[in-house]
Amino acid sequence: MSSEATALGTAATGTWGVLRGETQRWLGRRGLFHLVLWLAVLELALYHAVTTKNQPFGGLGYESLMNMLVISSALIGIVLTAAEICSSYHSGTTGWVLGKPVPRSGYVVASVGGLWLGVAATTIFVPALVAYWWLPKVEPYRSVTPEALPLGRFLIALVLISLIMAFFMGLSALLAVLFRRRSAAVILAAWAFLVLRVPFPYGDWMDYTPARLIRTNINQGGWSELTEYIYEVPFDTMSAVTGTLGLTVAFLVAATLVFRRLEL
Amino acid sequence: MIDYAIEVRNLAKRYRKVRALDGVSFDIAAGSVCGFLGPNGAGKSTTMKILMDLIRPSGGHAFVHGHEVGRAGLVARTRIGYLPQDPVFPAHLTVRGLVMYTARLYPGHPTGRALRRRVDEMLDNVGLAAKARRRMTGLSGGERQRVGIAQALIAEPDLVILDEPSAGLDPAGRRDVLNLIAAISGDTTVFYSTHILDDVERVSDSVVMINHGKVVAQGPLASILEASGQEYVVGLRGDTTALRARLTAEPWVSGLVARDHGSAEEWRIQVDDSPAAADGLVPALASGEGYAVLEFHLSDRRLEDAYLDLIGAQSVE
Repeated sequence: MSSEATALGTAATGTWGVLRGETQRWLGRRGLFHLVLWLAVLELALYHAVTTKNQPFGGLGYESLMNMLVISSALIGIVLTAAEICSSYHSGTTGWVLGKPVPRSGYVVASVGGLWLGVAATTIFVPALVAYWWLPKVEPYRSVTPEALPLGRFLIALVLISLIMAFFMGLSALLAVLFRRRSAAVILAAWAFLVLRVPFPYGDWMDYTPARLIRTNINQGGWSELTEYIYEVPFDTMSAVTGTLGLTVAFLVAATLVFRRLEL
Repeated sequence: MIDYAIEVRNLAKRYRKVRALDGVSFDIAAGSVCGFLGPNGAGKSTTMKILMDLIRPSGGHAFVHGHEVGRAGLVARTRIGYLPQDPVFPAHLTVRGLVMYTARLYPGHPTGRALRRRVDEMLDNVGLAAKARRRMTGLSGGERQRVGIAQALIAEPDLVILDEPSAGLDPAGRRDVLNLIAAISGDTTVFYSTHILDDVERVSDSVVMINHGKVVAQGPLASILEASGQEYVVGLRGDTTALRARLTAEPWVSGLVARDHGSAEEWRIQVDDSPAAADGLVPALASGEGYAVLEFHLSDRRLEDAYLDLIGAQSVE
């Protein structure tokens, strides 16, 4: 019992150390650089979308923002996760870290988790909140939506986008440990994103994936469920949220099981 | 009863058709400094990686401080500091950040000021205090290796496993690494691989030699030198044909290498039965005719000779 407790404590310390290091990495100087770069790209793109489109209704600014965040967060998550896992594995950094008292499962979860926390903050929350602040102030957007959206719902929508990002990061992590090739992981995970994103008929099982949240619905004027939600439309996609969460956990568990057998 | 830091029993590792390790067994006593020697591809790094639980053996068992690697590798690693061969550390970290990051991976690590003080002390010990804020990408090879030593020692481990710690270092860097190893010896067991045999003679008290995945020698350094036989150096001038024939026929002579120095010759006579050689060699040299003995002494046999005898013989096979 005591040795088990020691092993658990050791595992917790090692995992927490990796999680802390990864998070700090993305929230430190490097994260600041990414944030500034990403803010410039996203906000300029959004400004362009808002001010040049002929908007029949006032939600197009937020619709554009949600679309940009969903697409960018998923793809950024896929690319960074695959790059992180594959480059660390091939360079020997993974072997160095696992030469310390860090459990393999903890390493995978903490690496992806730290990446997710850091990248979600810098590519989703900060840019979205900046846009939330300036969008209602810009013509012609200001004339159609003089008041900002409820902040609570907006934040929950951002959490859901973070969950979608976690889903694709988990998938990318699994593919990266399976193939140990960043290109293979990126291509397959991006293909999965496109399948879930493009609006074509699908089976009921897709309701338990991010598809229900991220794909646009032509019958709803090109809006996604996620965008509708921020306009206080009743939310009926809990199955998609729980399904996405469950699949994210499943991907990470599968990734750790594969990773435990890897030779470093 | 001897307390062993490392016990390896019949360790085997196969990579498809290649046998990287083939029944490797050795023990390393706690507190010793053990050099792990062998040519490239002999299985040194593979053995070390198995001890660190980074790769799984195909057979056999390895124990670190009594914990079987594989079953209790995580707990065992709390007492090990490890420096892999050609380590690639996260490029975004500073020198201090990397050592601090490493310290935080160990249970019971100091926190706050105590941790910073400990890290600064360690960087001072390895001569990197002035470069604590420099990023890993801005360091020379020798400096990176010193950081590697610092991160291996930061948790004050009972056992340090270093895979070629002096590789790529200039003479001053090598000296510093050896001084560090010497400084921690006694309290800490050091198991390190190297190709620099002079270094092993300077700081090690025991040696494990491996070749083609098999242990060819192990034990205290003095025993290895003694067991590998003695060598006499003889300087001669004149007709030595008969003497050479007589000596090579002696059962206690295991080898005779002659070097021509113009009018004189230098013979290096390896013997594997020291008492018989002591009794027989001088009378043999004195009994001949047509030559003069210019020089005769017991060679100051070194680890390099023992290594070449043991590994060289295996390599030829």
